[in-house]
Amino acid sequence: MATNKRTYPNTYFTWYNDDNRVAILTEDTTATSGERTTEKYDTYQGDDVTNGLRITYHSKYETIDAQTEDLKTTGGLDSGLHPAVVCYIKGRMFEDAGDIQRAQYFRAMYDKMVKQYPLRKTGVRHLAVPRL
Amino acid sequence: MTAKNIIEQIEKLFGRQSEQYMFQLINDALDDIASHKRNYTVSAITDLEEKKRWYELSDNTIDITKVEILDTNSRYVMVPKLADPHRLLREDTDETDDSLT
Repeated sequence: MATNKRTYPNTYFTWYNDDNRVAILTEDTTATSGERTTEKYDTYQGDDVTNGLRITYHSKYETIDAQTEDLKTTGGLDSGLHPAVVCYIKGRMFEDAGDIQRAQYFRAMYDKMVKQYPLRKTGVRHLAVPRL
Repeated sequence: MTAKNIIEQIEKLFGRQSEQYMFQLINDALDDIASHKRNYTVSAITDLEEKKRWYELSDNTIDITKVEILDTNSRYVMVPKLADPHRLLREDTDETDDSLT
């Protein structure tokens, strides 16, 4: 049976996930388990811990549903990408109106803005190809 | 930029539009950008529960960057991701976790 290993969580706990859930496991080091099948990790069986689990993740932006809401403070979108939202909407509206040429123009502008905007603040994430 | 600023820019070109339609397009744009750029990082805190293996993720989750456990000094400590979960012999489910030994 797994016991409380929270003194050194990084030593005993581990996690994995499927498409919509996270599994929390602890290393099972108890020798007195009555289970016939033994393996390194088992479901946590210590006491409940209030606010004991924190999951950090990349999220979709928050939904906007009021005119006063700001895309940065409410939605979480960098202010540099706000013009891209305008281009996207114009592209969609021209598309709905059957004006494909203008729709493609605004769609191309939108794609360019999104592609070129340097969002990664944690460092450069591209492959540097050496000159041969 | 507020939603109102965006709607004003659109209405200058297309005239008066339904507010709900505008919100729908704004949110479509946000979802489309999120599918290309992953820069909006948030944290969610929940209780660590006895005999519970699976914790539901928010519908907004794109990918998980970090999982932390509250240690006995009340500090969150990052825990490693299991590299080979497919090798686990026991897959406790929400239905069976109360009967764990």
